[in-house]
Amino acid sequence: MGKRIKSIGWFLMFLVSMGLLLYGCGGKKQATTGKQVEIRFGYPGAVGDYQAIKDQVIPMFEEAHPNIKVNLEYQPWGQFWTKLKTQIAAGEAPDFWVSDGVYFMEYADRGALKDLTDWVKRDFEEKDFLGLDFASDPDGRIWGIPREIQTIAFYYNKEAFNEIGLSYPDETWDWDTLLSSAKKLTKDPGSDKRISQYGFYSTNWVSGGWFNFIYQNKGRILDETRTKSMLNQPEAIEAVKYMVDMIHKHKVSPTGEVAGSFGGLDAVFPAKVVAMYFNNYGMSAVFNQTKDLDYDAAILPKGKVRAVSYNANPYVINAKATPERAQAAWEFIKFFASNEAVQKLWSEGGFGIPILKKVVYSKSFIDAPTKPSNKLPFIEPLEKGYGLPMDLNKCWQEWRTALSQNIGLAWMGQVSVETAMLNAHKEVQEILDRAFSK
Amino acid sequence: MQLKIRDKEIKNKVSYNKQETLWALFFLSPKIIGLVFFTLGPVIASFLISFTDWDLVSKPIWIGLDNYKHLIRNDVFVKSLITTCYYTVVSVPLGLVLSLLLAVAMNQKIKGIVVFRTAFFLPVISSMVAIALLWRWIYNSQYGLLNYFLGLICIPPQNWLGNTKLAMPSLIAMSVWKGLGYNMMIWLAALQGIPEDLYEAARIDGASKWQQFKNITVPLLSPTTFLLLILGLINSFQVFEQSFVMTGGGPAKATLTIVLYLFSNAFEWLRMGYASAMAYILALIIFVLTLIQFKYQKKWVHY
Repeated sequence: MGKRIKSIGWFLMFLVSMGLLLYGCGGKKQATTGKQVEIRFGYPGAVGDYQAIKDQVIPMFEEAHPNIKVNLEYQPWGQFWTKLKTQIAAGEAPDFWVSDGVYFMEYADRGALKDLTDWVKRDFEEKDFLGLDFASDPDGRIWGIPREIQTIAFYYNKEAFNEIGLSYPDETWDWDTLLSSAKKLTKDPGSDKRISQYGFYSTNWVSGGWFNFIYQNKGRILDETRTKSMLNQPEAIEAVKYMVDMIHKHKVSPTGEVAGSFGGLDAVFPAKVVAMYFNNYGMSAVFNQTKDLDYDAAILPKGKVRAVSYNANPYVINAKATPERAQAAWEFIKFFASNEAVQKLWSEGGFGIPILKKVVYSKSFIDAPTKPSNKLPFIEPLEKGYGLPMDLNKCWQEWRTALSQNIGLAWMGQVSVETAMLNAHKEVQEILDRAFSK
Repeated sequence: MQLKIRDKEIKNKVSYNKQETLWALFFLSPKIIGLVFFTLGPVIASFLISFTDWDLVSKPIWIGLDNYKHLIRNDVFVKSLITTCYYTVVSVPLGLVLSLLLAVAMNQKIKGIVVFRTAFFLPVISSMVAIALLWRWIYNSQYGLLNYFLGLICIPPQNWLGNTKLAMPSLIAMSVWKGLGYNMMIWLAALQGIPEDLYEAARIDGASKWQQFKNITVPLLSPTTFLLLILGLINSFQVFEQSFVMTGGGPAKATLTIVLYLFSNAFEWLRMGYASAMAYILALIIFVLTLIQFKYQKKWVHY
């Protein structure tokens, strides 16, 4: 059976090599003369947002820019990246595409993306937008414009709070309040020795998990150049210990396995297995499918400082796009970000937090009737500057996997947090050294 | 005169053969072209890629043997190698022995035996991914079937896939179960090829059932054993889906096999050169092991 996947691997490698051969013929297409420009738009996504782009946004854009034609190239989210990699290798990648927020540095650092810094400075008024600096690197260069934003917030089940007369989380909450409330919200195991409700879900996960806690504790994962691991620092270790203790010492959080048996991260909150947890804005659409779930969102409890991770899927432009096409792609990106009707459509579709502030602070987002009724926690981290992208760099996927595998042992209670973090530190540093040695 | 005629006949025959060969090639061409382009091409390409540093995006850089040198010193790779060996050493012999016993059992002339054979063969034709998903539920530590049954006989629940010591044996158990039917079918065919009169003669000489099995069945099955051993070894070194679907290589790399690590390097972390080097080391290992088996087969395989 291993054979099949191996042959898929071979097949992909073959595609890549064939792509390289074809590069000679494909890359030299005659650039369109005159005003008419056709651009290729790579689109990974789900059916819902793809339909919105295809049937509404693109027609709106083409009406406003009759000289530009946008050809949409759609792939389901998971497959898009594999295809994109081979397309880039073959020099046949789309002129612009929507990147996963955590992937863009992989491409930017390898020279596959166009540096948009000057254009952003020229065409965007920073005070009018949210998260404009999301897709920037340690040198301050900007590689993309967010299509929408996903901030992590603190979701809580109001019913569970009402049941024991606990007041709802607010901005005064800190780590101690979180832990003591989690204890109160955890229901004692019944005769079958199973806990039916946990106070919190402490999970081995970057965006809704340790990233927040480490930075709240004034720790860091990587240094400011994003080339050195800081995981051996006491602040980082202490933060992870706080999270792990919730599971093994205080027993107020399910283990990953118990949570998995209820359907995992996405399901434990709507299934009322946990009373409080962190997740991004997009999850509220999933929660809202459970009709009787009475919940709201609050700002994440603060540690020594406030810190909240956020992600954004940016539009990026191919470094190899001809100037004319890059310009046309830029027109589309500007249109998407600053056209009120588009931003409203995107926000009301529930695809994410819009980036145009005029729409953010309107009935389309902050005053929208949808749950959670308190939407400020999704905006405030960005407005007040403690919203943080997740130390993205060109080997993000690799070091994140190594880190998560190593501390996973602490999460399972098999090794101490210190050991796990020091092992993680060593491995992450090796990966960084290798990636940045060139 | 006669000679000439025969010459002509032979000539005709030859040209007829030539024509036949061409037609054969023509009909085989989809397969051959596929083989050349989709197997041979990538095999050569990845050999060359293995000497480069290539992330798919930028141009490949020729770095000679650096990938290989680095691999030998890479703890994770060495660990994945050991993990794969562990999987092979346990799963292959276990699979062979169990499937042989099963085949002997299925070789009886009982009513409805076909139903049993089908039942045991069913996992073979099911997709590994589907089976892995099913077994993830069986192994679930809270609500899994396995822990439920163990609970009935007062064995405490185990964290089958989450425990570093239990995860690999759990995967092996599942893989053996899935592969059992395939081996069984081949054993069964071989068993039915053993002439009945040998057993009859042995019975007349007063040999017990066990002696018959040991001295007739096992030696006469040895070519099949050899075949299954080689196939099993080659396949088990390429084990991938089980850990990909069920554990993602975890916990703490306890189920990180070579091919899974290779896959991550190539398609998640964009290290094509490194992954290709890994593939070649794996190919070399399999090649050497197969060679060794062929060399020593004379000692125990009876044709």
